[in-house]
Amino acid sequence: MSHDPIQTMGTLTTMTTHELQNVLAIIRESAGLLGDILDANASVRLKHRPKMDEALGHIATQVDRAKKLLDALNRMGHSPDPDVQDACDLALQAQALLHLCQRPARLKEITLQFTPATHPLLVQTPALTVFTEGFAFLRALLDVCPSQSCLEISLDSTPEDHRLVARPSSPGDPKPVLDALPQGRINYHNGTFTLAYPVRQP
Amino acid sequence: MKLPEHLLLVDDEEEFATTLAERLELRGIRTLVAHDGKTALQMAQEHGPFQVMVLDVLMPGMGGLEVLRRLREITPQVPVILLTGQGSTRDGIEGMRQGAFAYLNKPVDLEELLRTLAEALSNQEGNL
Repeated sequence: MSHDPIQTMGTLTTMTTHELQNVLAIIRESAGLLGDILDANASVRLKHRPKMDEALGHIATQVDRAKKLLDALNRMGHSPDPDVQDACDLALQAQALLHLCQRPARLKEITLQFTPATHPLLVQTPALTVFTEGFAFLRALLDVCPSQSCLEISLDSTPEDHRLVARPSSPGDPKPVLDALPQGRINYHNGTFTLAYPVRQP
Repeated sequence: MKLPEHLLLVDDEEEFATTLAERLELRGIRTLVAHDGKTALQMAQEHGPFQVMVLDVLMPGMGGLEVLRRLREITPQVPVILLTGQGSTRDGIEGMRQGAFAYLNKPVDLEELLRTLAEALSNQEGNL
């Protein structure tokens, strides 16, 4: 049994997200059953039927929202797993990071626009490194972006690297973002920041 | 979309399983529920063969993959759909390797489950 603190936190996170996925499943099915019963009795005139439908719609929307957050949290929790220590999928890691960064973005009134990859982007870097570096990168960008601005995040590839690409609508001074990680890890050119990882060799 | 007429749902989360079963029943699918692997195997022997089985992977005692392995000995033809947590995709893939028809992440979307049930049935009928 590992006593590594990061691995322990990861295990506790994944254990809890599994349990919460079950909680969400029960909420989703219970709300769904209520909707089914209402639909099966559509001929019965219920004074508050529109309100009930609206409330059930809210439950479904929030379950979907929570599911995305839990999936992201689960991916984060699994990132110290020994079997993802030699490589990981940047596309999945980036998607999880973006879900987890929606709240700090919303608090600063920054619109976070993410264009996900359409296929896996396997990199020769441990998942934990990608996760922690990616988070530092995004946090630094959110810190420097002004309120009411937009931050576009996407993924890009060259034969050597897969890259997390960030284009703030108001770039400002790039130095605080470049300083978020050791010298040279983040690149900046013409209003665009990139964080690159070497492509996993077959 | 042709749905199965009867299936076995195995999940240790009793409220989830019974509520999902009621929703499937409302759609004309007779659904028997087991809350652990041992009971599932007994029901497969006593009430089977089912047209499809829906099986949770993470259960106390006998886990879903072990249940799947033993089910294959009792009812090798019956398609099995696994329910996994997002982080247990590896279990889903391992289950597919052991002959499961598909795996779905929890909390499962009912429409997606119905589609997968129909595909499993259609695939099963095509193989007969």
